[in-house]
Amino acid sequence: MRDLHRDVNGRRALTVALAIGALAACGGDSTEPPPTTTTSGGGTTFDFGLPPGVPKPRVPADNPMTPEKVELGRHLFHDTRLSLNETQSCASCHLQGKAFTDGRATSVGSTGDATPRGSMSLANVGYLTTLTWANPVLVALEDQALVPMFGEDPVELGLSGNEQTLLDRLAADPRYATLFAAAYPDEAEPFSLASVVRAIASFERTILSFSSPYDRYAYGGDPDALDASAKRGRDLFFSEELECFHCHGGFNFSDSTAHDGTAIIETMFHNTGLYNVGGTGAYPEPNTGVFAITGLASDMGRFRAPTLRNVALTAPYMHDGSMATLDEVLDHYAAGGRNVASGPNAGDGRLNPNKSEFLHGFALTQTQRADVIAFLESLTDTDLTERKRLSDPWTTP
Amino acid sequence: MNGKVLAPLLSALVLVACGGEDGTDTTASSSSTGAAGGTTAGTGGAGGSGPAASTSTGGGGSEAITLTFAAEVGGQPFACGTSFDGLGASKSKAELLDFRLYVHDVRLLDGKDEVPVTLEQDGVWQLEKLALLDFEDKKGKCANGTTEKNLTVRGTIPAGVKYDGVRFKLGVPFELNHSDASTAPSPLNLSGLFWNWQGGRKFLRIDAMAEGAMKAFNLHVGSTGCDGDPASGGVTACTSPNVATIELAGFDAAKNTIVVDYAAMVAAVDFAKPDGGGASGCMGGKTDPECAQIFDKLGIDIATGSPKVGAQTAFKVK
Amino acid sequence: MIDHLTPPTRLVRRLVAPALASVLGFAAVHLVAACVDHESTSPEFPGVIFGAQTNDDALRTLLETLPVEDPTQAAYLTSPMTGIAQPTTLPLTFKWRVGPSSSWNGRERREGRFTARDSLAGRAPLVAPAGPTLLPHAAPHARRASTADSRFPAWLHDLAPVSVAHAHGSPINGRAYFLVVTDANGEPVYQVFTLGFENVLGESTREELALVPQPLRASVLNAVFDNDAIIPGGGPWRGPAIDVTLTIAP
Repeated sequence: MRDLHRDVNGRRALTVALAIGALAACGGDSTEPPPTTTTSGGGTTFDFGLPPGVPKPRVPADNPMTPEKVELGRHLFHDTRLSLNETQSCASCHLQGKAFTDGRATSVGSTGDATPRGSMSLANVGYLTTLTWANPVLVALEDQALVPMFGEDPVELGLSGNEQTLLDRLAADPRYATLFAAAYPDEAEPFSLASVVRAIASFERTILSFSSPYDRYAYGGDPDALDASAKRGRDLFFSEELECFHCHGGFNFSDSTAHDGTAIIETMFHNTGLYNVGGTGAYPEPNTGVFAITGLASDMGRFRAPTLRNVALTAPYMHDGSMATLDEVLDHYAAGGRNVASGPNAGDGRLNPNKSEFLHGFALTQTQRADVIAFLESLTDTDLTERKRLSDPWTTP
Repeated sequence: MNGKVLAPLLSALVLVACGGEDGTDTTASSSSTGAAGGTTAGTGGAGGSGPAASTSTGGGGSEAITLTFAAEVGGQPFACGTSFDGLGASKSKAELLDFRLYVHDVRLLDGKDEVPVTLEQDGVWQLEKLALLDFEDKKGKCANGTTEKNLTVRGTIPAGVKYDGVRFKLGVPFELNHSDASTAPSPLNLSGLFWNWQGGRKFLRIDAMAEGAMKAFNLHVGSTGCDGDPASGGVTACTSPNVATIELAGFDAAKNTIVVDYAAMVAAVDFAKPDGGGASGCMGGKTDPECAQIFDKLGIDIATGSPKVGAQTAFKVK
Repeated sequence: MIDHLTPPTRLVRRLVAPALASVLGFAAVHLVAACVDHESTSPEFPGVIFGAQTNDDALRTLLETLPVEDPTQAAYLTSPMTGIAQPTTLPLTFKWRVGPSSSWNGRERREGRFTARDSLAGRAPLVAPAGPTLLPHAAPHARRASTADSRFPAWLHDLAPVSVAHAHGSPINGRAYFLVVTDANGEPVYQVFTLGFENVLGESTREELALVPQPLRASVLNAVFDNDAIIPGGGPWRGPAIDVTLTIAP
């Protein structure tokens, strides 16, 4: 697989390099760039504002990016009218200041239902091959948005059976009349469920995080952006001793990452030895990982590796929020799993039969541990948490 | 029900309403005038004697047929806002919160011969080979539902076909099931029947609130073990289709009704006990004990998700 | 540059290198340097020093990909000053960085419109801002080095591990830099592939380099990698060259 990847990517890199040369040659003047979308050669290109060398997120052919759709999506994302009882929006569980997580171990829906898992960061969500913690079926943001909107187990936004109520609400707001018309100029009836989820997905594809100190150092070429401790932590993180990079590798620090140039897209899930209930390999219900979808025993406890970008902001950790600090997380990986000594979930996760082969444990000195944490903290992108274009437009227009 | 559904619904009602008392039920009987055992006579009628005849090819050799369904709970007609006694092993009392199911691939049987029913494409309840049967009217606790009901499957068959049985599948064909929920046409656009976590639809949805229970006992059947393709953005396959095949003998569309009985589905369930695991009730989980009890009655092998033809006890001819 | 995690398979080379240095002449220069700088080398690229977390797979990719000229993404040598002439007795450190206008580093950009290039506007490019053009294939330097059997005896190849040690090591994620120093005739005499931003030349290296035709010319080729592959749009970018003359102290 490795060779195949490299061959394919190598060829692609060459092609893209040629294309960039051709494209950029047209824009060599010093004037402002053209509008944010341009149509050329059978495709519309949207300017994500990405640094050089960062590939674009994949965009479905039936939902091309436009600034107008993104702006509509921003309004919808932050609008509590998207829950039936008008108490919650997407942003209620995806707070910008916490890198679009909510700081809770598990989240609470609009009617008080507890979700079984924690809210995941939406930073760079447009690059993910699968969405949510462990679902190989959810491969498009447009489809994923329907889950919190209409899901019933648990109820999140509580809209099941009430899509028309939602659309009526939105249509009654003159601000939306303008936004929908601008986003969907060719639609006879712009107020539709498809319009809503496509706009939200478009907005989500602009939740991009590439401005951390680590980015400036490792991608931007600024030797002064990291201190010595974080630099040492980087070397440890990417070492065969710690093995972190196998699941949290690549520019998005997650192996569930693909971009518009990815030729072969893989879906990846891993069991990290968090549980081994009764020594059977089981994870506590209902958080059984991919098993909950596939019913395959080998999928028990397999979850998607989340991005580690902004990880210092996204505590508590793991799918069920069962670790409060990065120190605890390092303890877990250093031990090669977690031994739950007592209680209903008792069992030695280190011995979980589905455990990833990369969890063989390691030893860190106090300095090394501080270095790894300094590295992880260098992934915090305050531009993401403060960027106005991602903020609540209803309170900060 | 959203606006896109309503408009065609109204026109469909004009077309097929042929005596529905409240104007919302699209109940109708076959125009067959044949003898017992069901021989159609080729009069070209459709949906009874109403103007829907215009949708039939008439004398070209096809014949309209309407299959009528009824939802019951232990022999009592189902209605939203009504409580039913004697449910399950615990003989519990419960109110139902929904009662909808998809059927497709409807065929009439005559011994080894079978004739597919070509469904009228009404833009509301029927799409390609698929029909949604909707027995709830949003009243009472059926809040996730729609005010409109649909109790029939309407279509055409070759004129003069003899039959004495019927077979259909409980569920949605794979391609339609995994169509884009946000853009799909009716009847695939009802969010109460979305099954987004598996990228499909709920084939059967009957939720119950038992007396004294804290949580609803949900019965949602749909395909599970599905896999997505991040490259195409679609669902590639489901290891457990969970599509039941219902085969009923002694059926004449002109005289009989196909009865689907919730009490029969949950006959083995003990509503008085705490939920045995998985979702509250059954949401299709392979290891959910309530699903095992219910799939058995629907004629689905829970281990494989394949139909066990002839094993179901939830549907009967009346 | 200090590399903590040089793969063990490189150790053999580091041990044999000093012993061979006196008899191998030109080729040994690099091995001596490798030892002094705690770095490693590859049998495929015998003239190249590999820094920590780099590997020859990625270098091969770098050299086989056509560079793109983009002054905003090129790496600039900030040390030594170009045109300098100095004796080998003085320290010599190559330092570089990507231009400050790299939009990875432009935070204010994100508060504005979606414009990838606007952070570049108004900044003085460090080299003439010709429209980005494709440069000739970069491989010849390395090709010469990697096939230089005449300068690098086969028996030394045999001493070294044949397998590509880094191929199953850590992949490169992020920007990697290839420092190339050539002699006055354009022959590469010193090459380093690294994730870092500087390279210190040991005294023996300086002495060896002082023997080749002067002035030395140094430049840095860089690209952004993702698991050893160059990200689309991630270069490679070639930086401008500087000249340095090393003199042998009397």
